[in-house]
Amino acid sequence: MQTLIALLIVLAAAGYSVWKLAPAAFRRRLAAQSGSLARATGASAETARRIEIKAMDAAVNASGCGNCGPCKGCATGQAKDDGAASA
Amino acid sequence: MRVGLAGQAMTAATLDNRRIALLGNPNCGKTALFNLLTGSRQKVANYAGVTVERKEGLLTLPSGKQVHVLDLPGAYSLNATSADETVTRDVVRGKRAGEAPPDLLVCVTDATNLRLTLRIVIEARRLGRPMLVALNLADVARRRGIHVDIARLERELGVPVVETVAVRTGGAESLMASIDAWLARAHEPANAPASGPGVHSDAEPPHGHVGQAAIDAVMRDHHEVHRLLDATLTEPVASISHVDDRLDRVLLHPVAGMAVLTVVLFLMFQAVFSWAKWPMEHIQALMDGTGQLVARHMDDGMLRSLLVDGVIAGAGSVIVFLPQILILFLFILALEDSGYLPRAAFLLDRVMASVGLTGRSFIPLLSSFACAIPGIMATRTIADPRDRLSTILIAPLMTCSARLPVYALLIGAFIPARTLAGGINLQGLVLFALYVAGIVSAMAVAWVLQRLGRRSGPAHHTLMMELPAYRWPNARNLAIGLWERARIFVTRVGTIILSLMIVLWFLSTFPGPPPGATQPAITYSLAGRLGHALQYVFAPIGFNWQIAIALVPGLAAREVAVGALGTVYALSVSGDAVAEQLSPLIQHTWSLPTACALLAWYVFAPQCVATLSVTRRETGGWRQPVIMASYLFALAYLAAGLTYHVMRHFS
Amino acid sequence: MSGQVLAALRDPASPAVADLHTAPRERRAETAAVDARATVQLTTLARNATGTVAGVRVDAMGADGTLDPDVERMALRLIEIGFVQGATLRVIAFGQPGNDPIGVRVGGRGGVSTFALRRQEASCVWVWPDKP
Repeated sequence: MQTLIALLIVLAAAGYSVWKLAPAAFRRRLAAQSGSLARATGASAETARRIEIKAMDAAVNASGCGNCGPCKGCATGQAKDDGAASA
Repeated sequence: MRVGLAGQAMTAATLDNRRIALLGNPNCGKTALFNLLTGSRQKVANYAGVTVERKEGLLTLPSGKQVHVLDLPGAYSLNATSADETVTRDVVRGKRAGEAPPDLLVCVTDATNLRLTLRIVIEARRLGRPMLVALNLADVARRRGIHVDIARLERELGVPVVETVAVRTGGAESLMASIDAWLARAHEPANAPASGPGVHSDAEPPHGHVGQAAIDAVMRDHHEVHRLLDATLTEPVASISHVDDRLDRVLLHPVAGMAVLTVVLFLMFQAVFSWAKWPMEHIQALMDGTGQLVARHMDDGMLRSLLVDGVIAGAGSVIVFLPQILILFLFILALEDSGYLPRAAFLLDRVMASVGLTGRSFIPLLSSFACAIPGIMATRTIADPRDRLSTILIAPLMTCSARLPVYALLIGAFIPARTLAGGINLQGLVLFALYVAGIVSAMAVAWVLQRLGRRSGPAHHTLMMELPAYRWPNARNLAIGLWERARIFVTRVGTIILSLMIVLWFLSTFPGPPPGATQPAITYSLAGRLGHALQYVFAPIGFNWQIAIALVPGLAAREVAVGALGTVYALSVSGDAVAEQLSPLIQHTWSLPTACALLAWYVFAPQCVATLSVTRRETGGWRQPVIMASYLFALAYLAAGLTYHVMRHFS
Repeated sequence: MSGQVLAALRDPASPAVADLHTAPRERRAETAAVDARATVQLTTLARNATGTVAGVRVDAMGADGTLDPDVERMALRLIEIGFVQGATLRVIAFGQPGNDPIGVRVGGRGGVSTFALRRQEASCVWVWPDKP
């Protein structure tokens, strides 16, 4: 039982780390996939779209540097511009 | 000021949708006023796409209403010359994408220097938006015998004028009353823009080329300010404080000034060790206690190991350094608030120029002291591409505060806590030496780059830096600043560092040891094997495999190396023993040359991936980040190796 | 606007000049005679030297006589922060090596500010020096 919980926690942590540390483009691709994933599990088209928008938003706002200070997601800011340009 | 205790009996505060923006020169106490109005209810972020800070807070007025307050970057003029001022100009005009123009502008001025600070009010008045003027530092002005005829000024300007004392509790009462009055009135037609002399309807200054028209407009504004001051201001003959003069005579002196700067920095690092000891011990005790509690109440198993060895030993060993980081920032914020930092930038301007930076970039480097990333992004203002490149390549060598836990850990473990002559503690001295080493190596690399043909010529960058009047650091500003720092650090530890520690724990635990294993379990795990493999690379410079492992997640965040060591050593302990404190542990198992080699490594250590990716973005390719990482790795390896063998030789 | 004089250095056409001449000042009582005095660049002043700002001047550069927009912007900023005719001025410090940057207090009615200027920025500021 302990092992199971521990492994779940590890999976969550691993996923979080990958999410935060990955380059912005990779995150956006993942976010884009989330829509089709939602659809595959049977959600309606509208729900899938909303999930995708939320995921894309989170992808753009995540920042790997951990907001150590004055940066405060300036890397994010640029990603936002990139995202807006390509969207 | 705020709704007092009695306020709790009143109806809940109602949020007004309107937004107030604070506009004004830098150094007129605008931020202090913002802090006074909003307290700790501030949200700090960035404007999209730029390294300009966006500060927004919530103001609760005596009437019970709540409004958002936006602290705009300080600007000398709406003719912007920097990214900061461009943002201010655009927001005020309503031309910034994603930012609605503010509903009310509060123009903050310095009552002791209206000559400089009133002009932007005249400029802003031309926009025709609702406006208030706050004469800040009213207490200092009064003390100096400066008197402003407020009623007359209100009449002349056509907008309400109030006095504020941003550093005193209750110092913004008249301002808040004025805001309340405006909120109540705001359904009436907005105040017509003042139609006095010097107001133009074509408020748009030319972009690009500065035309004669712009100059004439500025001169007319100056004239208007002069006229207003003639009509409303009474001031004594002596216009600048003698104390300031005497201080500047010393602090700006090329020799004495540098001496003072060195001493100040030195004292800062002394304090980081001596003041932090007591709180650190308590945090450490808390961590240990928690670890033991968990160990006692849980059966032996994976989850317990995760919690004790991964979370507590890992992230816990980083959080212990919170007091030291706070002390460091206490000094930095106090220096900022006192007005001393521009003097330091003045003294260091030439030194900075040799590294491709300007004196003014020293201030963000020091006050951030946190990250190479803002430094790299700030290079956008450097015109010459080769200059810019060499600055980017050098930026990582200026210390980032994420190194501090590593330095502190190793110094704490290996440098005896001895006090030398004059009350100087040895640990603080070593820390100071490490920071200086970072700066000196940056200059050395700059010199090398110059020789290699990347010209780092004389700085053509505009300086024009104001040296504000000296003042005592304000306790409220410091407290709010420190709170923000603490929050950032704890968040960083609680999210990314914690996650990486959990992942590391996993990699250090699986696969488990085969039956009949003799060595600690970790040796057989994925991480253990990787560590032993890496050891071939690192053995020549004195690193053991545990260090080799810890360096890998250190690429994501420097402090993680400390946490990683914590986890790795915790898992190396065979049997039921709960992990000891990391510091004495490495003291017993590492040799002094190894520790010093690791310190030398960290002076140059390759960057966290975030810095590399920002470099990639700023230089438009992978070539520069690879060059940066490679040369840093090479330097780090050399330095560590040299240190290790030299120390081995002498011990 | 190719390059000559900005901000009130012997520019009778600019209305601001005439107005500032008549505005009361603390140090310069008589302005008519002032025009005849020699102006020097701020960069020639020694430490603790005082004077009165005559104006900001940027010379034409380039064959076609057009100014570098960065230089123009710098000159405008100098004017904005208070280097206008009639302002009193005192040099308080030099950075080393090379007497760069220059720390200068500039002020007039309503307040005094202190700025650090590069030599190339300060060279645009022309001053009527006080007799030592």
